[in-house]
Amino acid sequence: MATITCDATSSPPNRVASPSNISVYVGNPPRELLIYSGVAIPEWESLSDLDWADVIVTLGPATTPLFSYTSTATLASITNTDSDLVFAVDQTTVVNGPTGLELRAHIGVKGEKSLFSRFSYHVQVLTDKLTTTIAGTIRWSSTLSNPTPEATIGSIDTFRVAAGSFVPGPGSASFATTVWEEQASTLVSTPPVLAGGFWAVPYTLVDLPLEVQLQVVPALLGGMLTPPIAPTFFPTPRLVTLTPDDPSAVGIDFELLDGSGTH
Amino acid sequence: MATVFPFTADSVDDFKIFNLPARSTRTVANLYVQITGLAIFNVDPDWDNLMDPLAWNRGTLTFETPQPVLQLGDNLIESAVTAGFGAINREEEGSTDDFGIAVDSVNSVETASYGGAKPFGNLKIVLNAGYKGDGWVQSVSFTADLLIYRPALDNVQKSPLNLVDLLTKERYLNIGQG
Repeated sequence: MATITCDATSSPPNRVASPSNISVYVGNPPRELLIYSGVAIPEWESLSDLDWADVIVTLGPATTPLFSYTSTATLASITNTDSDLVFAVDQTTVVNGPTGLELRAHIGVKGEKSLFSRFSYHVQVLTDKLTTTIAGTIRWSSTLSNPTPEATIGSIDTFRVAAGSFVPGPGSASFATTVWEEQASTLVSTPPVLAGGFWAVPYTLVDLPLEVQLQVVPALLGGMLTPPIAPTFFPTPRLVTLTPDDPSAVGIDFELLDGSGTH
Repeated sequence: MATVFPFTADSVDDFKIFNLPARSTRTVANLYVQITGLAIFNVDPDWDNLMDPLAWNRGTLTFETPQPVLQLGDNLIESAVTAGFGAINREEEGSTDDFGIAVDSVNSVETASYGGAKPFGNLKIVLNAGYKGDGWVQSVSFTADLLIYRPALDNVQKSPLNLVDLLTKERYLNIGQG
């Protein structure tokens, strides 16, 4: 049986047209829902008999070992030269394979001659529970300030978000003297998106401790906004405690305000 | 291969839509929408006059959602669209022996024009397609997964600055700077 390989992840894609993928957090505790679409181009030809082939489409990096999925593949491009014909996609499966997350489609074609050129695919993958993650959005009103050209194209870091907690200082048994103990941080350079009068950027913190109440604190970095503002964030801090049953928190959002009182 | 046609759907039937708040793992999108339907093309390409009857003829198939998908202020951030044959047709009489029918790729997904009685928020999807001989696509079956940023879904309740805000600001001001 012939095997035809296609790769939606290479640049440019190999034997795949208009590949797309999106991913969202779903459920509580969150899992990741990965959705892939595209048009695979096996160009599988028959000269008379019903000929079968396995098509392997690399969708993306391998995902968690335990995942669920649904998948469909439908005819998208066929050619026949005046003969009895069959074009078929009999089965699709999704696996963590040697090249990453793979869609495997069993296709057949018959004609004298027939060309099974393309099929469209749609794959939904629901991952296992995620490792510890805190994610959210930072937004600000476009009437407050606008991103600089560098921030607009994502060439500079715009925000730093940290998660940690205040612990007793050295030699102190009480919280009268506390120091900030940081557990994780991230720099944001994603270009801001404008919608409904708000600019917004996403952030994600990973590899966080469980069973610890964390304070999530954003900070505006220099060179991000024009005109500059005196930043304050609402609400600050956001308190999050991750647990084994609830190892991730999404929607930990902030709004950037001008604390100078001039806006 | 010549580009010889743009066809626009006469209707989108069996349209279905659902949405739920869901956060993208990569962008600020906070609303997930899935739409499905059948785009109906009541057109029989004039293959033997306007097209090269022996060659592939390429063009676009365009359809628009029959109801708004976006609200004012929304920003469509990401999409994943699948489109394939819903129904195909081939006429043999007077035709060439060879035929081919193709939905080659997804060209674009964008907000449709609006104004007057037409509301904001319909989506327009454009496909690249092809025909060879007297065959064509009567309907396109599609599924589109969409990720939208809707500021109203942010988990932020804005309040005016007050003393507590200012005091808290002082305590946390230097933390984020690392």
